Amino acid sequence: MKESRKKVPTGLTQVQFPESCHVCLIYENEEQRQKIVSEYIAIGLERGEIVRYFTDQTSPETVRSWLKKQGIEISEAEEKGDLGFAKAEKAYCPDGQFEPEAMINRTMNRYEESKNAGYKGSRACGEMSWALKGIPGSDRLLEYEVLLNNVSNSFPHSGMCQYDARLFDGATLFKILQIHPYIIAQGQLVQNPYYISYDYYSNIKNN
Amino acid sequence: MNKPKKTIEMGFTNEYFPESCHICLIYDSEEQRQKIVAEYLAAGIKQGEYISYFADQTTFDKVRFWLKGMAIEIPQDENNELMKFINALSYYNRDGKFEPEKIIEGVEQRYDNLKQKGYSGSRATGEMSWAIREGACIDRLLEYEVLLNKIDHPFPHTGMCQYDARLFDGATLFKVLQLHPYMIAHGQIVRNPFYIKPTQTEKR
Repeated sequence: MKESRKKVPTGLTQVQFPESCHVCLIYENEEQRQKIVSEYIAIGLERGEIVRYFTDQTSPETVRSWLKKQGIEISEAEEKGDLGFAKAEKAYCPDGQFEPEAMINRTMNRYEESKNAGYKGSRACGEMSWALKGIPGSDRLLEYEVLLNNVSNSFPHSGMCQYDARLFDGATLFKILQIHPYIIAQGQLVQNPYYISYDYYSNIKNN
Repeated sequence: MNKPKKTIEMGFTNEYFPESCHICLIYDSEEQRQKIVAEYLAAGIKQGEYISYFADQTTFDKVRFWLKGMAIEIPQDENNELMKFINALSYYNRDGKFEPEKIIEGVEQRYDNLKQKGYSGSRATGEMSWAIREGACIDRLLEYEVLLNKIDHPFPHTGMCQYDARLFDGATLFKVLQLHPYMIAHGQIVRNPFYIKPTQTEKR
């Protein structure tokens, strides 16, 4: 438990945030996004974490080229398995449907395995537009995000959910904004003033 | 010009704010909105300010009802002394065209007039969904929001732009979020970390 309070650099700001940091990146232009995402991946690798990137709109080649542009060499990291790409659909819905609890279990297992294999931690970055494709269970996305906040105290995993504002409707985007404790605002990682805590969220849901 | 800015009550928070405060209220439930808007209006009325309500989705009777719940009796006339109730679309889109510069033109003088009439300040709130109606233009609305942030002469006017998240697309809502120095989160006014200053906007 003590370990989960560890502070780690995220690569986006000088401020150190808890290792279990659930970050939301809402963006509407590729340039903003490229810089943030590549820094986020780079700092994870630099720290000796296992880094996973779940693609939906972007190809692994594109992400590789962003990192290259920033002067970050990743071929070795990929060979060793420190950095890996997977299709978001496969990562979030391996059985053809989305189950929040199962996804969280997989994330927790990855953290355990990476610790056992000598990694310093585990970090994942996902393009959340996979949820707009009508895959069964994808309407449970918000539930998943809330659940993740509830368990992230017990396992220090960092995750960055990428939301392209151009693909989501306003109501969904506003909800998304309220369920991430940390957000990227103007390239900086900040505590999210809109964030609604898990307990509060469950209360309004139950009432 | 170094005169310290007057601070005023917003109604729904105990904190005092500068008199000229451009606030964004994004909401997805009527209950949230009603509480904040009603308290915001009530505080302005109690402070003797000139109140304008630019409506798109809400009727005058409804707003009167909210305020009645707060022991404020608004006369039935939409152009009464306590609060001006104005149709947002016909105000902003006058002559079928929205020209942000024209709306802002002369605000300083209008504000001086109000002061002379004995009002202590000016406070407005608008339901911005008028901009998604036919004939209106969302891009110009965004330009208008930037222009409001650019007014650098002393124009101590407080404004709250209401955005119903259910009516706007994600990209517009995200832009809106970046154009207000203050926002409402959990019923409190907070400095908006997403806010991009006009000078930065121009560079982009």
